[in-house]
Amino acid sequence: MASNPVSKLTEDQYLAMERAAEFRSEFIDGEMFAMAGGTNRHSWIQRNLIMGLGLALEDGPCEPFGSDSRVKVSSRAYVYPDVTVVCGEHQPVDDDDDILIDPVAIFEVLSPSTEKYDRGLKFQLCRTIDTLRDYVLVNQEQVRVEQFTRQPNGTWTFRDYQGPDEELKIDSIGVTIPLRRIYRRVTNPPATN
Amino acid sequence: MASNPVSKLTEEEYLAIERAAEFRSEFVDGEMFAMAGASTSHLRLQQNLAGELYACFRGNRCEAFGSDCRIRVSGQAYVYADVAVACGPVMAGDQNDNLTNPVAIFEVLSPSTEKYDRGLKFQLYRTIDSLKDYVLVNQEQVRIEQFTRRPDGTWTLHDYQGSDAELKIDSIGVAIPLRRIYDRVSIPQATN
Repeated sequence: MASNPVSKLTEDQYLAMERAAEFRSEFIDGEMFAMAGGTNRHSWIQRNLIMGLGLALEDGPCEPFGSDSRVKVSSRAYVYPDVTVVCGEHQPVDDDDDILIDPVAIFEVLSPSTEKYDRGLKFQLCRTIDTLRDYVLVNQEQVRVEQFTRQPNGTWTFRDYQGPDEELKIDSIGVTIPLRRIYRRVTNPPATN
Repeated sequence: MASNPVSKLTEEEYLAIERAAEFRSEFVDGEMFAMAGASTSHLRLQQNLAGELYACFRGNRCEAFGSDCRIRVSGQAYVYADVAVACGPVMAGDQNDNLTNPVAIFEVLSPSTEKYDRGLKFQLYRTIDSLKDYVLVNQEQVRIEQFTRRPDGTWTLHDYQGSDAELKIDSIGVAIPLRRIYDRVSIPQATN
């Protein structure tokens, strides 16, 4: 039997299917990838981030969106980050108004099943978004946040924050959050040794 | 039945087992992890890198080691890098088989190790004070990601894409065109 090449979806086909779907899928190079659920620890961290950012950004031009927000990377890629911050007056992309563009900061809470993607291909894709200034990874198994910040020359500065007393500082959106707040209520993971 | 807690190995126990073993294992927090084999693309990338570095270093103070070179990160962690570079006196412990002062480390990414190479392994490497550059080589695209340590403790991520780009590593004084690193390596066609 001849091999059966998978037919690629167009952007329009993806959006039509996705808008009718009961679960979220990302779209990369013509293929759809279903999104998995998360642990409670993942939910706590995500909620702490959205609450902290929401409060800090309340009176300014920027605002955080959760993981139901679809972000357009290009016509070949759509993703659902755990938290997305956009700035400026909201401009709907189309009548459905269900696509975010021009994110300034993206946050991902790392999980065993998505860590490779979040550190690798997803970050590679997000680096192509011209407006993006900060890409932030939050570890679930240790109090550790890793921040990538775009520099004017096209490189990224990578910074580690460790322990509850450190403060994550995001100049692009003018926010400083102590790690203690990001990890509030997060129950301790089993010690590794 | 009661669950059977895995007993942790000490550094000395690991080294005794490892020095007698027929295959390599890394050691992280009391546990040993066997190293997998590699694809031909992986081997070519690794050899091309080591070969280019060998040529660059002829007559100077740096030298490149392949993936048989065990690196001591700390008493809790020993790893094997695809390529490690040390400059000046090579410090490798009493038995001269545990490198402790790498300046640059290269990992060729594989599906089974990419999470580790980008995540925990890089975390471990960041604790080695002598390390100045950590370089990730993609197998599925002509793309290299270079992390360079800065004086303030942060790192700069520099992307190199396409065979005309040139990987530049100031800490060891080399510049290598990606074309040479990817020589004979077949890259999957772009998907659309």
